[in-house]
Amino acid sequence: MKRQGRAAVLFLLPNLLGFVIFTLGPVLVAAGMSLYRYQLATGTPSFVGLGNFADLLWFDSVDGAWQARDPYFWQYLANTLFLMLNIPLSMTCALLLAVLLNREIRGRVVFRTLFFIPHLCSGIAIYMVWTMLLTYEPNVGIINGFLWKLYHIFGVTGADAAALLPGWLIDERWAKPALIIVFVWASAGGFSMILYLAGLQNIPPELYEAADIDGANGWMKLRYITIPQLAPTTFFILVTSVIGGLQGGFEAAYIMTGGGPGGSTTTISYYIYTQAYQQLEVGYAATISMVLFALIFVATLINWRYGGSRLETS
Amino acid sequence: MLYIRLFAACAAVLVAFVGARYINWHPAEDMLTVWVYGSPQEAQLFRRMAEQYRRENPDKLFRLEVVPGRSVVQKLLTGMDAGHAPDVCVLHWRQMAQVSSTGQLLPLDELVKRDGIDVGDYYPVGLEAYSYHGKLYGLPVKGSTVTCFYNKDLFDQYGVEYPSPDWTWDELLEKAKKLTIDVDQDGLYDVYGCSPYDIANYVWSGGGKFLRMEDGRYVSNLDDPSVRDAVQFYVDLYFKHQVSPPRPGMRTDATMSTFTFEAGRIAIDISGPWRIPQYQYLDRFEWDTALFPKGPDGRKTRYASVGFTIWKNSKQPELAWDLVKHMVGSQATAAMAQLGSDMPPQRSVARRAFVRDDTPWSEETFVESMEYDVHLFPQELWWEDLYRFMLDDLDAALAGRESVEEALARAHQTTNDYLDRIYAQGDDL
Repeated sequence: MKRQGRAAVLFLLPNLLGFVIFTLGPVLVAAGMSLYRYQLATGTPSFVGLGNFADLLWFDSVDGAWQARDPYFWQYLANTLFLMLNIPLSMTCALLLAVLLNREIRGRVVFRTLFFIPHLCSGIAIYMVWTMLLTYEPNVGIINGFLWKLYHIFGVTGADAAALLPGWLIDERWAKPALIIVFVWASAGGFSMILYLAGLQNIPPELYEAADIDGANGWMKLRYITIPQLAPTTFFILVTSVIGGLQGGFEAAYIMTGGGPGGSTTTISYYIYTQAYQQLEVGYAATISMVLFALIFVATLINWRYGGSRLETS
Repeated sequence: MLYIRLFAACAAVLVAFVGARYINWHPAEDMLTVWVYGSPQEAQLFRRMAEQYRRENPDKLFRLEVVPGRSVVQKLLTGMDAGHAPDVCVLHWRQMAQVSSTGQLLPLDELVKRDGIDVGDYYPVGLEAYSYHGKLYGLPVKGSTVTCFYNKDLFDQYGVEYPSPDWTWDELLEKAKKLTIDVDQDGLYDVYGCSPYDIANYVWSGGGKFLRMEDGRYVSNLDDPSVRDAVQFYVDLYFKHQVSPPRPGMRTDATMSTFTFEAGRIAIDISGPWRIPQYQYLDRFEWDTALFPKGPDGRKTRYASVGFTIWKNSKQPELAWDLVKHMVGSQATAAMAQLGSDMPPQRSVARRAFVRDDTPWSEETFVESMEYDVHLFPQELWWEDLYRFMLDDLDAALAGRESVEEALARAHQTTNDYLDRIYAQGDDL
């Protein structure tokens, strides 16, 4: 037993060492750095205590109105949270796809492969293609092209039709929904769907048989058997998606909108990057990272507290 | 047996790790490291130039590494912070303020003077681009300014006269209107008249500037009427006249649009010679070049270049300098010009090596464009950050949701608030 324990430790050691050296160490250094005003490569850090946190999060009263010391942080945080709306949509789509693919339908493997393909494609290729699909001009952008034709069928033409076209990537009001659509498309058939499929195959068939005997319809079976039985999977996907959502959004925004228009698709991770490597304010960037870490920590705690306890109850 | 295997695996990882550290991160004292980036052809050229130097100086040890351009500053600054940076590094001029503000670059003024480098032959703006607060920290290997490419076939087909050397913004608008075409008459434009490029060229050519000095510090100049008129002209190209394809804000490169010059969907592409590597293979239509149109205050365009810098803590600054001289020397810049990638930074080489007889387009335009008023952005660490926020505010006007006056008023406030914050932090300005 003791010998097995030693072997287990040895097997875990490489991962543990990697974690300590490349994750825990940098996190601790970043935590310390957040208390300093430190410009990269100048080599003269000065201790500012919680000064960076105050500059990032504090509001000052200016002429009777509250003004954020760093308004960009709040704007980018709001952008990040808005973009996270893709999580419930992606999860719902992933569940529906998994339920469909779990049935005995013809070409199931083909569909499964097709739905998973976006996950295997390079993000850049996906975002470039979506940039073209979401192009405003209806003679280039397929989506607006479809709407343009649709409007014409209903007799709306010319400037009236143009006014009704969404300005997907060129309008502040549409840019975030556009990115959400892309995220949902890219992630619905990915690992979430695979995890749901695995979860579905673990649901004992007797439960459905019993429900059939009790006269339950399809919706009731989904509502009272499938969804509760998939709760651990849902919980896992939710936690990892929330963590990913708070950290993400950079690549798509960088390629599709450059963070615009009007900074409407700039996310917190993008802000950390520009503060560290464009402004060289690594102390301040570390502060933003710590706040992001705290947000992720709180979100995960809430998930555990409510999602986890429900799991235990069920 | 298990333990032996595990030990062997750990040892292999350790050896690989130490080996990688030795090879990549700890240059030996006598081995100079050079970082370059660029297109595959440019990287090949840098390699060729380095090999030539190696042949001429077999006793000099150095290693040339091609690094990804997008993350070069990130890697460089982190390396400098850790005390292990390349001795020589290629930098874009818009990265210079970031890197030179750290004080980690070697000033070159004395070396340039000592070795009698003919600075008079360089376009002055090229040397300014590599200077920070009065000191020279790099030498450009190529550099040029904003010009125009136009689709001759479209001009001919729709009976529009080619741009003249003295053409103006009004003529640009007039031609762009004529060349914004709904070919199939379905109510949608299939070709747009122009892609206007960076707004800075219009602000400067309109007689304005983004910032001015007041009481020894920078303040916003966006309340200047000439800035308003220039921004209005620029925004009108997109929104009022609709002669330019919509784009997701001013931050992005307009070439991200699906309406591209290469596709024959843009009649006048305002850009620079750095586009030649892409455009030289176009065979669907004929194209030529023109100067940037004159604004109310003449022709004032933005500079762009790439140059070599030396790390202050290089163990062999003399060898680094010797290598830099070779890499930016007339032979190298002429070879770069022959590649068609961009213009040499030296006047004499530009005229001799960049202007060719065997191309159907005129390279003379690019050389001539450098004789006008070529501008730089303020060479300050905070500029790129501030400019992004300014452009974000102006996006509202570009989308037609706010008037230019409203958007500029907001950008003016943003700029002054930003600068107040910077000065309050007591940064070295």
